[in-house]
Amino acid sequence: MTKTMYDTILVPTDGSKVAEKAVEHAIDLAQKYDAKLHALYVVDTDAVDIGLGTEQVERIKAGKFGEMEELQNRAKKATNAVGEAAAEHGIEVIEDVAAGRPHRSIDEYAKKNDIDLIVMGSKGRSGVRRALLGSVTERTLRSTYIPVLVVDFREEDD
Amino acid sequence: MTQSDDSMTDEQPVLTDGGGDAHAVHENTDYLDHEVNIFKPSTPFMKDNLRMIFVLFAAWIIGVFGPVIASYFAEGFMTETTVLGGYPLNFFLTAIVSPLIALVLAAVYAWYRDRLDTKYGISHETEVEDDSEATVSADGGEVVSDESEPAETTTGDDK
Amino acid sequence: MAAELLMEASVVLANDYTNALEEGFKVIPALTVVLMLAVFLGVGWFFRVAAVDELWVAGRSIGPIENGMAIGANWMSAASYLGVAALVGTLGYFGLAYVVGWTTGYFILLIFMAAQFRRFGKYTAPDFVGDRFYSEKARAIAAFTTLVIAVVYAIGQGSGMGLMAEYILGVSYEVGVVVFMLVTIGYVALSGMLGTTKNMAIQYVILIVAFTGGLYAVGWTQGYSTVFPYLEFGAETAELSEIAAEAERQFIEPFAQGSLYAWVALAVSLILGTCGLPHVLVRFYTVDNERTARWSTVWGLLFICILYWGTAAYAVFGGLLYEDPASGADTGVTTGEVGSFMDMPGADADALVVLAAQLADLPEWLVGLVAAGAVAAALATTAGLFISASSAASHDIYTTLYNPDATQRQQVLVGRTTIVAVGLLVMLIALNPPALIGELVAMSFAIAASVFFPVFFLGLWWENATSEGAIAGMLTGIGISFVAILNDVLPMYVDIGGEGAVSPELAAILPGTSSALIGVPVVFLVIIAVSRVTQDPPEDVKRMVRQCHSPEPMSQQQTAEDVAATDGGQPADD
Repeated sequence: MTKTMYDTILVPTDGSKVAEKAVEHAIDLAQKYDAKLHALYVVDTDAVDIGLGTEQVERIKAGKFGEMEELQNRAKKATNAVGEAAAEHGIEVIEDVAAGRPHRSIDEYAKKNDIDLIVMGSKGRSGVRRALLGSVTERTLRSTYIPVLVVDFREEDD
Repeated sequence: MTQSDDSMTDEQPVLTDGGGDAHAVHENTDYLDHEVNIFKPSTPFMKDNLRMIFVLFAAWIIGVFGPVIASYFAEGFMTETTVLGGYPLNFFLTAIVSPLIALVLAAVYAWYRDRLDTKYGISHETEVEDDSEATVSADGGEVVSDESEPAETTTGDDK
Repeated sequence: MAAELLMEASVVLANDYTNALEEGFKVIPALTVVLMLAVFLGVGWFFRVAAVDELWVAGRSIGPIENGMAIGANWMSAASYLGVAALVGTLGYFGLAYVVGWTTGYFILLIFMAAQFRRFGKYTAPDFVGDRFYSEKARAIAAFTTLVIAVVYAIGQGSGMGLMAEYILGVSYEVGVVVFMLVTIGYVALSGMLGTTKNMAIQYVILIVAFTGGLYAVGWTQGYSTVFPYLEFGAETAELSEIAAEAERQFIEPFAQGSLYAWVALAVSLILGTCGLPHVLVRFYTVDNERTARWSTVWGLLFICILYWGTAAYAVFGGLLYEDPASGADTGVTTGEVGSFMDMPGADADALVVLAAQLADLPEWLVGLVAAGAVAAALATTAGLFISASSAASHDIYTTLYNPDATQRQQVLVGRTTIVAVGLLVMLIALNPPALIGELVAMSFAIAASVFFPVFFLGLWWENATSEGAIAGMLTGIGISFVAILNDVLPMYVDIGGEGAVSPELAAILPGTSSALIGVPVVFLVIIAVSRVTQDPPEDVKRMVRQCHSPEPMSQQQTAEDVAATDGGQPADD
């Protein structure tokens, strides 16, 4: 079997509809390239800091994620969705969870697992909203050298 | 399923023994089956613990509120007596000694709890072993089995 | 009490003397503040997590000493740093109720709650209330109270910031409040993380050095004390007391400024408030086990005492210097504005710690260090309070009650919006605060004591406390503490005629700062009575409570709920 360009594909997911779209593309590519598919949920430590308190970030850092059921459940829900969608096409998914700043965690994970292609969704925010909330996809694009496929959530509207 | 207090009387002679018997008592107690009520401790461990708590609490009340109450009943004595080169007694006791008493009592309690743990054979070190891999797989498999393993095929986070 | 003090202040202002604090931009102190904040923020940024290496495997554990320092730093707010000395200086023996109330409460926390809370192991205080009392309503009430406590507590910090800004930056109080509050809001909203244990340990060290350094320097240069000021200011206390007596004020007489009842009520409120503050209790989630939780509390109390032992000394030194400044500067006493140091205007009182250093003619860099410490303390505390507020709003109200499928992004948005909203509200009120720093913070303690302490205590120690009981109790506590505070504070903002509180009779038995002496027993009765007549909690809740007390060590990866649900199974010991 000849080596293809994309042996291992990573689709980071946050459980949102935006990610769903990206998942469709990732599954299709995985089929065509006969690639392994990874689904990753990143627990955003900044979100945990503001949403649950800095103490909870420390717990995660101290390796006590196992105590934090609610966070685990969210992660599983998001990655399970990918698993189920892929199963319909007979593709196996490796589901995983990481914690940290999303774009960095994605990059680290991708490097560690020899990912050849990252497929991410984007909402295409612009202007003030983009400045305030940022875009994980955009930052990932910039921080990693691995090819990234950005699937825009907005339909073409022209 | 709460055990009533009369199960306690069987075990009371054991308390004075300490040592191995207390270990046995502890091993045999399912703490989740015993009611928690601060005025009705239902396990030997709880009894020991609460006894100390109430003793120290009484000492704390005296240490914290003693000076001000003494100042109420013996104002002249408290304000005119001076210590350490001029501190009025009430001032010194309240500003310096009361916090000190609370600190000492706190240390006493923490030390006592350590002793109690030893007596009952409880160790807190089991969870922080170096062979943490073993610990993880043990409870990852047993207790929170379906919750702690999100990866279905492989665990990409193993080092 | 506060109302009278501040009214005297406005009389004084009319006569052209403003305050003794030398205002005007000072380069070195300004740089010191910037440097201190840079260190805090820098450490927070540096330890910001890019990617967690091991999610499932316990990493380095934080020892009790480091945790203790974090607890100390948590406690080191503008109230401890500036406020207590202010209150002791102007109220004499009555002010010592603040010293006792804000230290000795940790013992109660230790014996009744620290370890148990650790075992409960959830995320926020409203989490505890909501899960323990199996009720969304209870959670909502707890979240609301958390927000109120954060706001009231933070107002005191804002006040401290404004005062210090006058000294360091030379701007008006109002501008100072705005500037520092905006800095705080900006930092926390954009990237919290000031509250990591490591960061807080560093904060403690810096702040205690600034505070104690000033104390030693004042004591040394004025000949008051040498190596251990805490035990050496006896003669000065006696001297100060005589000075006060000459001006017909009582410094050490125990009940001149407040009756025995008032003293005890205040101390009790502060002690029980210590055990009811959300942001204090959630710190225990970061320790490894109950033993560490206990020893951390002991160390924490030591570190807190190191600060608090110095507050009375600062009050005495400050008083003496106010009467007779070594620097020859003008004070309320030297200009004849007020009869004695105990009548000093509120702005001078709250700045007494820095004032003492200034009036002792210490070099500007040293006075600036002390002032910078106060700013840093206020800022760090405010940041922590804002996070407490944002997590209550984001996790407890928004996510759990309103939108369980909220994405992380949405949670962040809610959190940041809350921080900005709370920050602006605090800023506005701090521009014209209704009381001294210490009193404002004491009010937040009174709320925590009446609303949270009973449900925390009974929730942990009586497994049959029911949700109806808890809800009734919390609402009662809110009623009592809020009424007491509004009674004292409303006249500051709304003209209702007459002097002092809306109802002076009520204020005498239920002061805004001290309502817990009555409030807590009443709430206890309510909870017990209502719980008795309502259905017992479900069995799994009872088991959860028992698990909090069980001496069986919990594994790293468990909370009380986990263990209780799976029948207390535990991994092999050795």
